[in-house]
Amino acid sequence: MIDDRTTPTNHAILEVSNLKKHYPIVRGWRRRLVGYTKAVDDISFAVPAGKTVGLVGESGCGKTTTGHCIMRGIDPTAGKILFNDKQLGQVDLASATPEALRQVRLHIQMVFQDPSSSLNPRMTLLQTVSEPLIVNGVARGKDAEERVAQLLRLVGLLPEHMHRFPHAFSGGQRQRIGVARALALRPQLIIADEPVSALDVSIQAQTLNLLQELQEQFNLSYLFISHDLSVVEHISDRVAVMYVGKLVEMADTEELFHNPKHPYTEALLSSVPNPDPLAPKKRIVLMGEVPSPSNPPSGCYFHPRCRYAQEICARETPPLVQVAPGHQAACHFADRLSLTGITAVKI
Amino acid sequence: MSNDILLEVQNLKVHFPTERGIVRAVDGVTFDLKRGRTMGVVGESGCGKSITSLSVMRLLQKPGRIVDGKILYHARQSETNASATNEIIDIVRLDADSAKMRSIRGGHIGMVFQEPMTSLDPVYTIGNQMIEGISMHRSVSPTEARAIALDMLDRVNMPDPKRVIDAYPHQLSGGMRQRVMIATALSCRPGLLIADEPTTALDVTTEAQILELLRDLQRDFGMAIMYITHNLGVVAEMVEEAIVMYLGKVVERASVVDLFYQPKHPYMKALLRSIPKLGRKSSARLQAISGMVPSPFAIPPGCSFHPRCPDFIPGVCNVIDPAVVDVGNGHLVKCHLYGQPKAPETANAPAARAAAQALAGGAQ
Repeated sequence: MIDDRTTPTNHAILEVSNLKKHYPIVRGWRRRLVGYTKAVDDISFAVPAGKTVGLVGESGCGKTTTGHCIMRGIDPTAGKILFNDKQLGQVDLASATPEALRQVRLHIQMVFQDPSSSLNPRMTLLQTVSEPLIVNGVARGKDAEERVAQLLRLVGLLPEHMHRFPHAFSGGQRQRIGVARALALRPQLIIADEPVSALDVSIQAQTLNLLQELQEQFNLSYLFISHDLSVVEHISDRVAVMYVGKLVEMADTEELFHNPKHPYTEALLSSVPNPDPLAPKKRIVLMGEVPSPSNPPSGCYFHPRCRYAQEICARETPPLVQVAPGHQAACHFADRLSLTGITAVKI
Repeated sequence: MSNDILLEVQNLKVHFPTERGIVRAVDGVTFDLKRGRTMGVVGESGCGKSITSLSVMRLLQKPGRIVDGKILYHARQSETNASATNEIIDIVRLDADSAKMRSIRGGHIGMVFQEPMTSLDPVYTIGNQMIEGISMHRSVSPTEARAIALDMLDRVNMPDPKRVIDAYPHQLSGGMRQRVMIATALSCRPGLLIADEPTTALDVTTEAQILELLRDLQRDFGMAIMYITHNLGVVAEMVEEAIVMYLGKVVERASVVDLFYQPKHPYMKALLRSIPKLGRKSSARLQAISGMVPSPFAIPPGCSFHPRCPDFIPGVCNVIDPAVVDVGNGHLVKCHLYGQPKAPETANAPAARAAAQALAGGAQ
């Protein structure tokens, strides 16, 4: 399993390299530049075709900004975002012309966190789901209506309901509408930003199952952005962990969860509440707060909260290096520490 | 101590009359909580768990109304500061704005809400807001109240309490605000702390900090905690026993070990199966609960879970509302699978059975 994902021959649909998004901090009426908020700071990863890459981290770590940069909802400061398509060839989204972007965007779609605010309350299902078809000149009129009916059936909604408005649907159904809209143009890559966080547990499972079924059916690739580690473990083939704008660790899911190499990953894993009342409660509680990306600590950004921190950690920023095949970590002591992964939930 | 009841909720019913009909948000909830114990209230949105806790605090917003039931609070002199003696107070019978209710709310029962930013007033400093509560419930001078506030901030491991006490809410992070809420709620030494999704809005590592803090404080102060959450992991870690709610009714109640190791109600079983669990990755799909929570205006007859239930018995579950059965060890479950429905032989019961048989026959 590991091999087919780490060998370079494997077709990556998206390759992000050295992506940066820095926001200038200005002060005074002359708007003097005093520094940068490094929301995303030099991250590189790839999404293999037909696979799911999970991007995890706490609020403010830059995971959503990364997603928006890929969509070019915001313009990256530096870096490359390569999208590989059989027909279009390789396109760098970061530097693409508006015309080229329009073409590529047919293949990349997004699913948002809050299904009630990402749907226009004044548009019916038909209007919402057919809008991408009409805007991109794919289908219109009766043809579009037929496509919408198909899409609704695909995500488990009734085509009869296509003339209703979003308020007539529950949270889980609205998220299905959002998925249907994302699928309308038959994309190859879907960026899902916290798609199940706003949903109830029983609806969460339905939505995750739907995403997995659609992936198999259409060979979709997902970039799955979430803070919920149990969900990410369930759905992802590979996981990248972000902390204050940087990637601190990346590996295949099982490897990352069972054999973490970065102390932050270890702490994250141990703080997930375990649904087993008899499991020993030996969690690592991190002290303090996540630092601000506009004023990060020196050296390794994690060192003030790290229980293994040494003197070098405050001085030098550790690079993200390979610690095992397909496993990268940014820690000075990645090869020396023996960190604890998860213990499987028995219930 | 073992029989030392603190709070008894009996057959509580809360209705919201709306234009489309009456929403029975809480429909006959019964439970009790002993002094110094922790109880979880589990359920999905709309199951009535927050409305239950707001009823205990008498903070229901209009048009919500308690239409039936009792909420008995067993007050004890030692934990109050002046007024009450050992007495049993029926919170339902009090006027929500009365002096007595106000002394209970905050004085005897503290509450921590989900979103700490909306529960703190942005135009007052942390100190102002804490001192207001303290001076309202305890006869202390403003200087003493400030000292108590500082001490409480220290107890919740607030970094630099002397600075924080004069800060405004927007100057604090989410985790720090939640610490302020906990400090405020505990500053009057309540016998009961109601925590309504206190960590849902927080990041995992902050959540871990707050859960750890609540555990420590419970050990030190000995208050009872009613912990309302939808997160099964949090329930398993934080409480001794739990009730599971679905559509305004308690469907199961058990010690937390029984509840997770031997769940009885099909809803609880299904919930446990539907969550992704760490270290249990497989290519298999999650076992989702089919369908969705019904609209509060169209609650199914009989057992309200029957349209989604894998063990649905036609002609029984969709006709008769199941009785609560004790399956041993205080494990209560409201489901027809456990013992025949022991409906009292009233005039309705034979009719219901006849209807059930007719329906069962019709189904075949």
